[in-house]
Amino acid sequence: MTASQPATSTVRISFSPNAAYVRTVRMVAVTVARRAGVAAETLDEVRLAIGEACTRAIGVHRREGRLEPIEVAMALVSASADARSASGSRSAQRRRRASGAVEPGRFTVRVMDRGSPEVARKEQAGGAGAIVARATVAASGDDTGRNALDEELLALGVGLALLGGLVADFSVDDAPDSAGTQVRMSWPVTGARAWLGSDRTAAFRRRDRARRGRG
Amino acid sequence: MELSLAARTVSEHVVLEVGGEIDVYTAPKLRERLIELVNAGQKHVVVDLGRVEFLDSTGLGVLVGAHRRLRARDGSLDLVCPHERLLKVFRITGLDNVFDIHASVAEATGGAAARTGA
Repeated sequence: MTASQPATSTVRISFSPNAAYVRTVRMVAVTVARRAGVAAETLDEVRLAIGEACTRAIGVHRREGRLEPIEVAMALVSASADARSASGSRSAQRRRRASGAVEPGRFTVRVMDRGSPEVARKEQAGGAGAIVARATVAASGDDTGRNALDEELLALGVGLALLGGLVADFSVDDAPDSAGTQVRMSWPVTGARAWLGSDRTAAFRRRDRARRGRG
Repeated sequence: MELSLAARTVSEHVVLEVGGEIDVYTAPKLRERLIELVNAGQKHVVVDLGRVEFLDSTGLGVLVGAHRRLRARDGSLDLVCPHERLLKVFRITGLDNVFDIHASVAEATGGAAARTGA
């Protein structure tokens, strides 16, 4: 894990690669995202994207026969911490530096599997679009049977296409310890309900002052 | 609620009404049911997604699979999807070009009803 992940503001879930748990992770993720200050109209995207990332991870473990748990780390990363973070995408860092604005931070999610990074690179070599395009050809009936795609492979391509289409800041990389791969994504937060110590809302501060006053 | 499936016949179509969440866990149940319908000789299937709260890539994969099976038998798969939230998922993946997506069951089965004079 990178040193810049603020431990106090991180929620982690570790789950067996069992499809039954993806719904649970989605529900927790949306709750945490809402609390972090992600805009209400973005929560459906967060729900879908995190579900897709978990589904992909389960597929990776299934194909490679791995039984280790899948790790999900959700954090509200402050703008300054994220700019230092090696896990932040370079373009995102450039955007943030170029804007020069003080951001309240980003809700950042990493879904980490124990699959082979080599296999992951091969899987994505053709690109999500290519997989979907091939499936589309098959679905339109031009290519019945012979090249019929496995639905799971199609779902993988569709899943990556969804992640790419839904999340502006999205990447698939080697896991920090290189013992797997990780899907990393982040969303802006409005800051109104940020729960990092340094980003406390005025309401929090008022409540704290009131408590100190009573104490 | 996880997933509910209820099939009914509307003229020459069988309408499969799906409710709940279609994801990596529940999609196999939907796949099984669709395969049952195809194997039972149903050619024109309408999947009504009107009560679906969540649809992911696994669900889309199952729908594409059913579409392919039906096309191979000169059948058809039509979808009913009145919700923008789900339509977006079809658009992002380009699958809105693969499926005939209707706003209502009546619209999806209307052509057949008109042909049979129902």
